[in-house]
Amino acid sequence: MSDEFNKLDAFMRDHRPQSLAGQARHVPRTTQWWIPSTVLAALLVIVLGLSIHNSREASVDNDTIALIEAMDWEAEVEGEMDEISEFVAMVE
Amino acid sequence: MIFLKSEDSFQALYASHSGGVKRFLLGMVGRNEAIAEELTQDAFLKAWKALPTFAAKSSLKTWVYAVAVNTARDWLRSHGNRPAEVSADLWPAPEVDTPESRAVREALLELPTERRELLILHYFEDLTLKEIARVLEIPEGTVKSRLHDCKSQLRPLLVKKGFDV
Repeated sequence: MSDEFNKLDAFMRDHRPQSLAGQARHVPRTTQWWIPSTVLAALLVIVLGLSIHNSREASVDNDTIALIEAMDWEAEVEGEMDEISEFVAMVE
Repeated sequence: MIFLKSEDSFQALYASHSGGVKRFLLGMVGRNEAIAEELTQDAFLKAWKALPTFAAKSSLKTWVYAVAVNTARDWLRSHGNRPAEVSADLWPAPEVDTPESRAVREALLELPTERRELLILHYFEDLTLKEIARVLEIPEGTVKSRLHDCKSQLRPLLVKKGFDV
């Protein structure tokens, strides 16, 4: 091919389409604005979820402690009752 | 030829040439990646089905491009030779779509199909004259003269867009 197209050849090769594999993925313009919003919303959901989870854990803990305390009290009462029964039996 | 029947070999062929074939089809049908992707899959499906007819007279590369050329021609014929509309919610990323690359793309789309395919194979896919001759099934001398004509037609389109070529 003659030199008359040297400039055209160079221009065409310099501005050939980028390889699709290396090309930045086209992001729909309409979706660009809500990407940060989505990330923020997701973070908010995670934070809320964690705090709800923690508060549930806390309430479970409180309930458990109350139950254990009640059981201890019952055990103590039962123990005392046993001792009283033994004492009464001995006296009799 | 027997090795071509292996699925792994065909996957290797796809891995080597699907990027180039898709780029070629994108240039042929216009900037609509979804259509180019679909046509790339069609082209490789046709290639897979036509494997038994591959006579190994040409290289696999030129054979795959020949299938892609026919795929593009079929699509364009069925769409009145009009390029695809650019999808409304997609646009080329600024770093890849410079004014020059846009001008190149638009100028190519103004050319008739057979001229566009010749220029894309030559400039973008870096096929030699011999390889283009095999893909388009025309003599090498014809490729050379047609390429000269294509360039003569392409240049004023770019000049009109303000580029000194």
